[in-house]
Amino acid sequence: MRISIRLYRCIIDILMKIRDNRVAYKQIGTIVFLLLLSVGLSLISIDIHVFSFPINLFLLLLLVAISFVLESYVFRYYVVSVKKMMLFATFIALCLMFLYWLLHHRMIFSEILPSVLYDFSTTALFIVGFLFFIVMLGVLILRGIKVINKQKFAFLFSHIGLWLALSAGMLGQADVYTLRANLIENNSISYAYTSKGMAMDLPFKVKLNKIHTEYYATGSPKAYAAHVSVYENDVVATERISINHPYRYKGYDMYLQKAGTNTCVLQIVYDPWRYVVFVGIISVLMGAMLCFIHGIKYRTKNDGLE
Amino acid sequence: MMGWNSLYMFAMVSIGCWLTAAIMALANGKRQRNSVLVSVFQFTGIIVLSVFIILLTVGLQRPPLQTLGEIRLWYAFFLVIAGWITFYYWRFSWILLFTTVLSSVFLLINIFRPEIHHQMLPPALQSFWFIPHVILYMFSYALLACTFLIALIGLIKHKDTYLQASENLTVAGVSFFTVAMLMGSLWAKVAWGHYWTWDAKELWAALTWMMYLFYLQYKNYKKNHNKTAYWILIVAFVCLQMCWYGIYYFPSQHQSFHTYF
Repeated sequence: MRISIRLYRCIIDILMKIRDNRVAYKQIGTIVFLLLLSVGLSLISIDIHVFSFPINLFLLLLLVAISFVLESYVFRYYVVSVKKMMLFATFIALCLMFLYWLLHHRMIFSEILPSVLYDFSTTALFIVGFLFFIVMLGVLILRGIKVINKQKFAFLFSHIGLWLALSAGMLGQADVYTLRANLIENNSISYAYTSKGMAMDLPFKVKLNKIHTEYYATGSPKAYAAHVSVYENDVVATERISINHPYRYKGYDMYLQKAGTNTCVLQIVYDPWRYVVFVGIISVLMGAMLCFIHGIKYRTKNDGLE
Repeated sequence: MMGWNSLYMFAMVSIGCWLTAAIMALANGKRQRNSVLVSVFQFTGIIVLSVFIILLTVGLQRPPLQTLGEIRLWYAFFLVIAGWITFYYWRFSWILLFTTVLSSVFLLINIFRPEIHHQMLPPALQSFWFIPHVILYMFSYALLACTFLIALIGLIKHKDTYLQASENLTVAGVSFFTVAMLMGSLWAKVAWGHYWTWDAKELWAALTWMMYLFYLQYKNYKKNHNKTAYWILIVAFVCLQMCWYGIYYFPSQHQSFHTYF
């Protein structure tokens, strides 16, 4: 009862403010526009593989160019604070992640949700939201790079690393293929399936020789391993693949996903951008360590961001 | 063989030392007198608990990093260290009492409601990355718990030193959090083939991380005191609880790669 009275009062209050012209219509308009845009974008599903190499490389350069233009012209000549926009971009990213987590509970929403929202990471809303974050991060880096001093290294390493990891991780997805291969002992295969059930040819054959399983005294599993042979015309290699110990051949990483008594499932990942993301991650790691060493000192008054 | 049943002896000695240190720190107030003695008591407690952890590791024949009870033990351990760092640098006389009470609660839960501690390490966790990943997380959680306590106290009665201390502790906590999280992503690449998969745990880790970055950006944007900064820290700590154990109470946990037990 109390809540409904409060809600009623709140609505009346807003209506009175609108009547008295105390609310900026521009702001309400902007919020409604952003909400409608978000709903619209969330209903568009994007097949990331459409942007495979070299399109994703061009997109990456485009992101740099947009950041450059924003930094050089828009933020310089108009009164828009870079820090404020970065806060806004972080807020957007936070909202998107929270929404993503809510959509993880598919079984609860299953009757109501449009099917496109079942994988939120492929919706235009998620992708555009994070691209906006990446662009703003680019602007921040371009702004920060102009005042370089010793204490700025933490800033540069962490921000450039994050930019690299996020942009290469996101746009690089277009070239990444995650395949599953079901192997039976003493049989070989030359294809594997995508998550959508499409068969893809591999540039080699894999044969499962033997499954190795170890158990603790309590009966819980201790170790799984699959002994496989990789063929092209002849045997190229005979390897032991176990959890945490994949095998890489011709750019394809083979991971042991499941192991039965005489069968196993291999996850085969083709990821040509892995080292770019890796460099980004290492750079953020170094930035975080420098940040800890310098402590608060790196946050100097003249950080060049305004 | 040393096991969980002897925890109560070590815990009682440690809690006794920490309580003595906390009461001495409170009695001293801002004076420097006896601060060495406070540190001596605090560290005696820490050393006693470290001895238990070492003996437990030997007894279990694996690092005690697997069950929730074991992680609680580490959290209690790091919380008193983080509390001491905060006390040492900023002389908050009350912080030691808070961290002692929190650590004691965690230790007492382990004594009175022991989890099943007989599980062995499943294959996915047998990795070089496992120990640094979990320990760095626990240390960052402990530092960030201190920022939460400062934010709570700051909301009630603000002091300028609280702002500086919470910001410094957040920088340290976020640095450890970042390293732990990225080590996890490197490990995920080796174990599952992808750096990041947006499962429930990873989503909340990223959300918590971003929330703390949001706080640091906000502090950089608005340098003067206002209560919003404290509120952001409190919300960020709530996110951290979701990331740590909160997600396991929601239906989406079944899809998580991080559910082992």
